[in-house]
Parts: sequence; C-alpha cells; structure tokens
Amino acid sequence: MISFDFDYYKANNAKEAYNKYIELENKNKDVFYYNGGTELVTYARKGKINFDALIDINNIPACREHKINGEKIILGASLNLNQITEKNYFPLLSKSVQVIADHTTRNQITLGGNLTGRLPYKEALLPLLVTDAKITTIGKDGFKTRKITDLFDKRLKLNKGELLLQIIVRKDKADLPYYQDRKVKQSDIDYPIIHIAAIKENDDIKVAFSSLSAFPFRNNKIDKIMGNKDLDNEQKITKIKDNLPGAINSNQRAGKEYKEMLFDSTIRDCLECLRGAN
Amino acid sequence: MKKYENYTEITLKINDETFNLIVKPNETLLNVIREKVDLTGPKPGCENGDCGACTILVNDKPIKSCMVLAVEMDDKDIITIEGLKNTEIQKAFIDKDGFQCGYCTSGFIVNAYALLKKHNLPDQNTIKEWLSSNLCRCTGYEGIERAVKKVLDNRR
Amino acid sequence: MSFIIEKSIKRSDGEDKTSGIQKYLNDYSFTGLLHTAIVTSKQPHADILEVNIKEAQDTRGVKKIITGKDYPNPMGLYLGDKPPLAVDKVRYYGEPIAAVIAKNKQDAINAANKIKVKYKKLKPVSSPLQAIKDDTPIIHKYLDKYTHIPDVIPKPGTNIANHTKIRKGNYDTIFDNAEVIISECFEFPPGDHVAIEPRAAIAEINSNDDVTIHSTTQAPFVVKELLAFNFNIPTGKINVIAPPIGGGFGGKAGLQLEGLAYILSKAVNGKPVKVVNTREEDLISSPGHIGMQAEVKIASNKDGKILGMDLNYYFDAGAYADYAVNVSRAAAISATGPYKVENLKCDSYCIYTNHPFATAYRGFGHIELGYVIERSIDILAKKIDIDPVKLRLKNAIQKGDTTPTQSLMDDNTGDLKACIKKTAEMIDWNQGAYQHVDDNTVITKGIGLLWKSPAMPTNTDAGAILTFNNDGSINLNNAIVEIGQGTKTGLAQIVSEKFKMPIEKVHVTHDVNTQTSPHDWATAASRSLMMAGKATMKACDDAIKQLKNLASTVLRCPVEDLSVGYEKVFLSDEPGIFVEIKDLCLGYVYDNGNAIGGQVIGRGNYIARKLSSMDPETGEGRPGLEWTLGAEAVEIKMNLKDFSYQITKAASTMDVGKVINPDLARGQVTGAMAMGLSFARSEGFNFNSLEQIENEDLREYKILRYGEHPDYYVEFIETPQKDGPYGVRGLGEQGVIGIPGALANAISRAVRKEINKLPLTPESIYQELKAGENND
Repeated sequence: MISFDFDYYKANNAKEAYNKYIELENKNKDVFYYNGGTELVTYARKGKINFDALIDINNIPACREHKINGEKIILGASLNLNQITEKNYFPLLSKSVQVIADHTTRNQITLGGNLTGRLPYKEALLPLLVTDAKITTIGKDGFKTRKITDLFDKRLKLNKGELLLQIIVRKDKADLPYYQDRKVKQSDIDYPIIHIAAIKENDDIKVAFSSLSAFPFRNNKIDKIMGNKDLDNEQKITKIKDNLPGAINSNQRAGKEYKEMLFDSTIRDCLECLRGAN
Repeated sequence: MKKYENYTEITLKINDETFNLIVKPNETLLNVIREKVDLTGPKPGCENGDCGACTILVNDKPIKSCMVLAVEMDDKDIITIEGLKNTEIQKAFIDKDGFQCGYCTSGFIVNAYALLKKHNLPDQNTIKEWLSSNLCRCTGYEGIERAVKKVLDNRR
Repeated sequence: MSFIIEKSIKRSDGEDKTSGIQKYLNDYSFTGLLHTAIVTSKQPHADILEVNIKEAQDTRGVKKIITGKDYPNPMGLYLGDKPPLAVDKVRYYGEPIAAVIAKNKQDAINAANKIKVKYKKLKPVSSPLQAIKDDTPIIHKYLDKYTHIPDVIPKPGTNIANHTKIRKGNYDTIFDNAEVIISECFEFPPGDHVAIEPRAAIAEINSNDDVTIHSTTQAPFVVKELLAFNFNIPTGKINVIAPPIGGGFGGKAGLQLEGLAYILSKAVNGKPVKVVNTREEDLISSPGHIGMQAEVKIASNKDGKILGMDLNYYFDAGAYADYAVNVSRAAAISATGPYKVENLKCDSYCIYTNHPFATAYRGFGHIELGYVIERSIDILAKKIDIDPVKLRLKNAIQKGDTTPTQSLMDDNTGDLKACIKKTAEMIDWNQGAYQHVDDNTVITKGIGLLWKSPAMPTNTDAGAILTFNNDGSINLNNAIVEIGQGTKTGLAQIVSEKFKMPIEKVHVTHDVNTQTSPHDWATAASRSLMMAGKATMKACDDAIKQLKNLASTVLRCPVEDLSVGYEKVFLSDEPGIFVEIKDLCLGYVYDNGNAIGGQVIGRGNYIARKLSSMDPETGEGRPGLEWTLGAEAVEIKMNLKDFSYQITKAASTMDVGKVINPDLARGQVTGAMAMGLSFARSEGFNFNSLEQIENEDLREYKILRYGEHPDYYVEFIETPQKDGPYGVRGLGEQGVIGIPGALANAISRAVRKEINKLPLTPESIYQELKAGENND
C-alpha cells in the first residue's frame, strides 16, 4: 500500500507531457514520468521515494513506436522488454533485456524505464552504448536527437523535465556479430554480478559493462585494448582492469574478488567468441 | 490530458463484467480488485513484484497487479483467476496436484494459462522462462510442471 | 484389499484453491475493522531512550497508539522473555516497537512513519559462539526472572537460553584409542520459512469479554491456551478460528500476531483489529528459521564402524527463545542422525544473539543436525576411503539399537537399509558419484540420511467427532488446520475406508474453531494423519458400534452378526438383509411413526503413549513417539569455472509405515526436498557489519524457483507403525532433512574440498576454495 496521495496524469502527446511536467515543477511539485511503473510503485510502497504527481507517458504515440525505418530501428521508450525481445529487430538488445527481472515483470518494465530509473544496472543500455545508438527527447528546446554515448556518464544526463521518447539504432550495427553474457549470484532472476555486451565491427570490438562497478559504462580505451592484436587475452584482461573508469566493487551481489574472477573469465569468453566472428 | 486526483471514477472490465469504480491514484490494481471488486483470488504475497501470487491478465498478458496503479488500467480488459474456472489448465492443476496450500496457485494458473494461450506447444525453456516469474513454497514445482505438461499432451 | 486407502484420491479443496474461491484470512471482510501499522527497530541492539508518538497521534484517522510500556510483561511459549512490543531495549533488527490503530491502512502507515524512536546503540551479538564468550554483552539481563517450563534449562548471567545434555556409554574415553577421528566445524545463518501467505490475525472482544481471534495459525489451541495464560483470560472465553492457511512450515505455530492483535483490540474497547504482516515484516519481524554453528567429532575404527560421537550444537535462537529452546532440545534427542552410536556426548545450546528470533521450522532441529551429521559422515568416508553409501549401510540404525536418549528402537523401526539401497539405485550411485563431462563440467552426487521424531509434549493429543446427515453422509470434525498438506483428504479416506462409503459422502470440517472442534495439540510435527487419524478411526468404530446396536434391534439379530459398509448395516452372511445408514443415523423411525435410538455421534481421541521427560544430566528418557527413517540423494552439474551449478536430480526413500494417498504423499516429499535444496543452496539472512539485514524482501531473499527444481525420484518403504492408523507414521517434514547434507556432499565432491558452510552459493564455494589454497 502506498501511504501518500498524489495526482496522476495521462499524457496523449510528448509536448503535453513535458509542459505539464514544467508546470508542476514550477509549482514546486515532485513529479515523475510514469512508464512501466514497477520501480515507482514498489519504491513508493516502501517509502523510498515520494512524489506529488505522476505523468503517464504510455499513451504518447512516439513512445510506442516499434519499427524499422529504412536504415534505422526505432524503439519507443514505453515498449516493454518482452515486446523488444519478441520483435527482435536488434538481437543483442533482445538478449540483454530478456534477462532482466522475470518474464511477467518484463511485460511491465519498459525500455525507457530501464534506462532512466533509479536502479544502477540499466542492462538495456549496454547494447545501445556499443552500437552508438541515438536517443530522441523532448525538452526546453523541443525535440532533440543525440548520441547516447554523449549523454551517458554514470547516468543518462537529461535536463530537468526532459523526456526520453525514442531510441534509434542503425540497422547495420544491430546486425553485427555480438557477445552477451550475464553472471548472477545464483538465481537467474536477480540483478547481475556482471553483465557484458559487445559487438565486433570490422576488427574493432566495442564493449560495455553493467554492475561491474557502481555504474554501467563503455570506454574507448577498453574498446581499443579489446581490439589490440598485439596483446594476448591475459594481457588484455590486465590492461582493461588498469583502465576501468570505476573500481570493481563489492556489493550485495558479490564480493570484489569473485567479481574479478568472473570478469576475467567473461572477457576471455568474449574474446574467444568474437575472435572468428565477422 | 486526463487528470486523476483524489477519488476518480475508472472503468475496469474484469472477467467480462464491467465495473465502474471510484479509486485514488495511489491504489494498486491488486488492492482495487481485492477490496473494491471483491475478487480475492489474486493474493498479496509480497506487494513487491517478486512472488507472482497477484498475477492477472491485462489484454491476455500476465501482469503483477501489485505493481500497477488502478488508474493506469482505466478501460483495460482484465482477467483474474476467478475468470479461468473450468479451463483446461485449472483442471490440470487439480489432476496433477499443482497446488498444496493454494496461496500461490492463482498466480501460477493465470500465468500458465497465458503461456498456453500464446504458445501452442512451448518448449522447456519457454515454460521455464514464463513460470519462473512465480514462487511456490509447497510443491517443489513438480505438480505444476506436470499440470502444464498434461495440457500440452492433450494438444499433441 | 483396501476400499480407498493407498489410492490417490484428489484433494477435496482442489476446485476452490484453483479457482480463486478459497478464502484465506486476509480475504475476509469484517464490518468496522480497524487497521494497524507497526514501527520496527532499525537497530539490532540498542537501549530505547524515547518513543515519541506525539506527532503521530495527531495524524488523520488514528484511533490509538500502543508502545511497549503499555504491556511490559514478557511472555513466551516455553520461556517468557518477550514483551509484545519492545520495552526499554530492542534486541533485533525488525523488532516491533509501537503499533498504530487507525481507520484504514493508509492512515495507520502515515502515523507510524511519524513515530520517532531514539536509540542508544549497543554492541550487537552476531553469532552463537560470540554470544558465549566471556566479554560479550548479555542480551537478557533478567533471564533469572523469566518463567519457563521445567524441560528448558536457561543459564542466567549468560546468553544461553537452554542447554540440553546427552551422555551415553563411554563417551569420555571412546576417543582415546580410536583408530580414526574426524573433527569438523559447520555453520549456517538464520533464515525464514517464506510461506507465501504472510501472517495475519484479527482480534475482537465482545461486551461479555468473549475474545474471538481469527488467525493464520497452525496451532489454534496453543494460541487459545497461551492467550489465556499470558493475559489472564479464562480459556473458555477465547475462541480461535483458523481458516486454511497459505503455508506454515512451522512459522505459524506458537503465538504469532495473535497476542498483539488482542492487546490492540483491547485498547479500542474490543473493536475488531487486524494485524497483517507485510512481506518484509513476515521475513524479519516475525520469527524464522534457526541458525547454527556446530562442532562434530566422530570416532570410528578403520573399517568405518562408528564408535562414538562428540557433538556441540550452538543454535542461533536470535533475540528471543520462542520455539528455539525446544528446537535445540529436539536436535539433542536425535543428535547422531540415524546411526548406531553407543558412546555419545552431546551438548546442544540454544543461544541468544541479536538476530531475528527463531521458531519451529520444517524438520524442527533435524534439518540442522542432519546437515552437520551427513556432511561429517561423508568426511569420515573420505578419510577412511570407503564408499559413503557403504559406510552408511554399515552404521544405519535398526531395530534393537538405542537412540541418543537411550530409548529402544522397537518393532516399529523402519527399514533404513532398504531406504538407502533404494535411493542409491534411483540416483544411479553405482554409475559413479563423480563424472567428468568436459574440462569445465562435472556431474556429482551426494547422499544424506534422515530420521525424525516429533518433539512435542508428552501429552500431545487429538480428537475426532463424527456426526451424520439425513442422507447418511458423515461430518468429520477435528482440529487439523489445512496448511497445504491435504490431511483432511487423508482423514476423509480413513472414514471412507472404515465405512466403505464413497468419499464424496464424507465431509471434513473446513475452518477450525476451538469452541466447537475437539481439542488438538497443533498441526505440527507431522503428526496430523497419525494422531488425528487414530482418533478418527476410534470415532468411526464408536459410530459403527452405535449403528450396529440400533440395527440389531431393527433387523432383530445379534450385533455380532452385523457388518457396516456401502452405506448400509447388513447381515454379514446374508447381505440382502440390511438397513440403510441414512435410516439409522438420526434415529430409526418405524412405519407407525415410533422412533428409537436418536442420532449417532461417534467420538474418538488419541493421546501420545508412554512418553517421558529427559534426565537433565544424561538425557535419558523417551521423548520421541515414533521415528521416520529415510535416505536422500542429490545430483548436481557444476561449472568449475565459476562454480555455478544446477541441481539435476533429487531422490528420496522414506519408511513411512503406510501410504494412505500416494500422490499427496509424493507432493509432501517433493515439496520438502525443494525446501531443503532451497535452504542449503541460497537461503539465510545477510547481515551487514552493523548486524542489519540486507535481504529483507523476496527480491533479495532467494528461494527456489520453477526451473531451478530437479527431477524428483520418490519411493516409500512400508514397515507399519503399529500404533498408527493403518500403520501410518509422519511424513510431512521429513523430506527436508537429508537434502542439505546430500547437496553439500555433492558439491564438496565436485570441488574436491570440504564445504561446511551454508548457503552454497557459487561465490561461497569459491571463497572456501580460496581459503583452502591460502592455508595449504
């Protein structure tokens, strides 16, 4: 039971949603966009979060788009994770989201929610980082489309009230050979100890990680090390570890040592798997 | 843009019956179904989306009703366990001992029903993927596995 | 040939439970019901300096707020150590401190959020072994003032709530010259039952001071009697109503939320008040599964004959004693596992820590001792290089041996060796317990034996009342709570068998009501079918006798010439001459209207026979009624790169005396095996460095899921229990007991290292191996 009261708005288009957000914000209200709701509803019940209003964005047509448009795959922010897996326009993304929570819950968790929520794992982000996906938002300057890698630094850096509407992935990149693996404490239905997603483009490997440290990341230096033909696998692992943007940390999922061991073996598997691929 | 504040009227179609209900935005669908529609089949096992005992169908998709706001479901088509009486899977749960205490059973049957509706002959992995959304503490899952298998055997 | 027993009759509650119709306590609506919210401690050990309720009291909808000071007297099951709400001190993370009663749940929660508690933190006690060190804080300063039953022996001035001693044979010299000695340590953290239905209770008091409690309880009569004792209410003024519950596993025995609900109702002039746990409260605030540390020493000769054991069991009772003081005692009674051990020293301690407190849990001390003993037996087998199955066959207890409390294994003793052989066969033990699949993958097996005796009062009882309807159908009334086990169906089968009457014509009470149901100890200890079954048989015999008496008048023949069956009383040698039960059961009416006989009411009772208390110095006595013996095994497939593993097979063979309903019996066993696997594989609370719990919901507290379960292989051996109905003995809990040891044995075999700590997560296995490397 959620013990506080709030208002709830159902937006019909992006502009309306954004304007309402700013209007409420100006009245000093705590406002959230409401997508799948799994996180907001459960956090609200536990008293971990508080708000005066929710703006439901599920009816915004742009957020529901799910299509291939010429060379681009368009993914609306309100698509749920099972929809993404079922259409499977982007196999690496399908794989990366098919392991989040459980099947029933994936009927509720949305792509946008996973990218912008409070949980640090953001597993749907990894395929987007490695394929240099773009996102479309609405904010104070109207609609904007930008590279996700430019916006993501520990979290998706959106302005106050800026609303994520769509993700755009180049079809050719979505079809590249990939590697994806996820290590868990024990049960598959759990947050990850490590989640790794990588693609191979020509001879380059692009790799992104979740849960390894406090935030997900993709890092150019690590990409270069992965693709460096002068290094053997063990050298690569050592070098990557020296270049991690955040320390491998202990948390509820696993201690640092075990995580490092899994990291090593995951990198090995990734390199092996992508070695011959093209 | 529609605003829901304090007590607002919503319409829910549940098990082919239409209900006009006065709800507050902070009420979950689970609470509204149990307390205002008096269908107590969906259970509050954890209210955190972890156990699946509250699973219902929204447009034929299984959803954990403890993580949904009732206002969100305005005008949606909902099926609860009470709407699945005399279905093949419900009977199979009895025949194959797919339940013991019965508390998780509503959620399991609803989820299994949706699975068997969506997939004619799902493979082991698909069954596992779907049914691992629910927790059962009594059966060890054998009876549940057999109940689903019984329906599949009848289809073959 | 039997009429209906040994047949897999479908459960009578099937339709309701599979169509959402079955009502559980929280599904009922009550007029004028008030709701509650509880404030719980965020500190594991602290003095309470202040509980400020001022702001909360002024919150919308609040009727009343109760704090510990309103009911300061400690109470308990066997040892009165726990006030309903904490007074002056909190002793575990999650301990209830204050309760708000309000018009609705939202108002109650809002007010509870405004209650401010000021603490002075105290050093927490984080394990039983730490708790018994000299310089450790004492958690219960007034242990000497608490009341307790004679069988519980607390040690005031320490953190020991109970100490049970077993001394048998030459326990003090047997290790001196033994050819082989192993010595091992074990541990696992406290955890939870995770019944999917959280606990709830509703209390109301009418103007005659009659107290009505509706509760999710396995033990309605215990609730009634403890409420009467603790709150000084005449027992007859209390009625406890227990609808079917959504899983218990021991967690709904004893007194749970009923006492709190009672004082809250009392605070609002008897209005109905509901207390219902959130999942988080159910995990943390309400009691859970006991934790343990243990030291095991076993002496054997070089051929593997066990000569003696020296066992120290340190149970982590958590903050309060509750059932834990009897769990530790039960573990002493069965300390050795099902082995012939003539020389034994066992000290079983129930120890206070600043963890959530423990209550009964499926297996009641036996899953715990079973784990440490079965691991130890495997370690012994390895040390003397003998096959673990052979070692177990060599030492398996059998008829004529004695138990740790020196009571004789009598004619009722099950055939453990047959169980071991059957289980070994089902798991293909002879094909090898260790198989390489590829460089990184192995398949291994582990075996674990089990035994269990119910730890219950020496006067444990059950009752049955049979009444009839005018169509000749039968109502069976006894106080077994439907907790998922299906006993009501088993009992209906017994009546049906006795009367050779279709089971559809046997109606078993649904909700238990302590005012109208015959007395019954509790739906616990796997004794329902045996004891209530026995009482039911007696009630059937009683009714049959009455029916025959009446029929002898009607048919004008001697009573001894009559038989009952097929809804008739008939002449045994001339079945064509009969009178229908429906014409007898409410009195017989002659053609002219004259009536005779009156209604038939069958009554039956049961009371445990010849149980005795234990000697405080040696443990000698007969505390256990019957022993279920069995053997279980597990097969796993492990990835040696990261130590992740799947549990591929689990097998169980138990000697249950007689199987009344094979499918239901199997379901009890598979469910118990899954629970044992889940416990050993992933369960237990994670404490942070401040002893606060990190996994307080089901997202973080992991239980076994669909697809993580193995293929099950279940068999039964039937050596009849002569005092049980049709030879039945208990089987509800037992399947849980051998499994943790079997799983840990399979894992230890896979990684070629003794893994003695639970839970067996891949990381914990990795850490154990790492620690081993560093020591080498």
